[in-house]
Amino acid sequence: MRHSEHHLQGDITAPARSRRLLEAWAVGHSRRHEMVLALSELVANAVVHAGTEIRERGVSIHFEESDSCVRVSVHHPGRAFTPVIRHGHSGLALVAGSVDRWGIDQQGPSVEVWFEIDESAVL
Amino acid sequence: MGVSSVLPLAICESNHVIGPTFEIEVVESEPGTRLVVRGEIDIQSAPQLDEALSNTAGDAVVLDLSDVTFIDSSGLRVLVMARTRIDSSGRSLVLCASADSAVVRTIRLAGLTSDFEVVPNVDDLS
Repeated sequence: MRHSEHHLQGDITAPARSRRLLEAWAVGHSRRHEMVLALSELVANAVVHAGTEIRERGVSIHFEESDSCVRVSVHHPGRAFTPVIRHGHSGLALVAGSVDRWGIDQQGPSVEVWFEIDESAVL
Repeated sequence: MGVSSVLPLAICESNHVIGPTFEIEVVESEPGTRLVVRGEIDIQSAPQLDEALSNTAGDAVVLDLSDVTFIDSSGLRVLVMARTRIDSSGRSLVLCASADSAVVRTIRLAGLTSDFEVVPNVDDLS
C-alpha cells in the first residue's frame, strides 16, 4: 500500500498545489487527468465554501494506492453535507463523472470527501 | 494582426510557481477578438478569463485554448456564460483545442460537447 499525506493552506492557491502533488504521485496512471480534476474540484469546493476554520486550519489531502484501487480524500474542519448536483458542469458533477465511487463522511469535527478509481484501469 | 497584449498571472514563493501559470494574449483583428490562453484555468485564474471574454469586440470571438493544460468547473462556467452572452448579441464564439486536450476531455465529461463549436487548430478557421 502506497500512501501520501499533505497539508495545504486553505486559500485559492490550494487547488493548484493539490494538482501538482497528485500529478507527481500518480505519474503513469492512465486516469491521472480525471483523478487530478476530481481532486482539484474537491479542494476548490472546500476553500470556496470555506468558513474561517478552513482558512485558519487548512485542508489535508491523502492519496492511497492498494491492489484494487487508488483512493484520494480531502479532509477539512466542518460538517458533512448532502451533495446537490445542479448541472453537468458543476464541480461535483465533474467529480461524479470522473471517478468510480465517491462520498462524503463525517469524521469527528472534520469532513472527509473521498473518491476511488479502480486499478483495473491502470495500463 | 492587430493590437496584442498579454495579461500574466503567476504567484511565486521561493522562486517556485505555486499558483496556476496563466496568461492571456489578446489579439484585436478582423472579424473580431482572438484570445490566446496558456496555462491552467481554475478558481484562481477563471475571473481573468471572464474579464477578457467580457471585453471582446467584433462579430467573431476566437478563444484559442490549444495551450491550456487544465480547466475546472469554474472555467467551464466562464465559457458557458461567455457563449450565452456572445450568442445573445448575435456574435459567435469558436474554441480551438485538439480532441485529446484537457479542455475537450473536460467539456466531454461535463456533457457540454454540443454547446460549443470547437476546431482543432486556429488554421482551420476560414
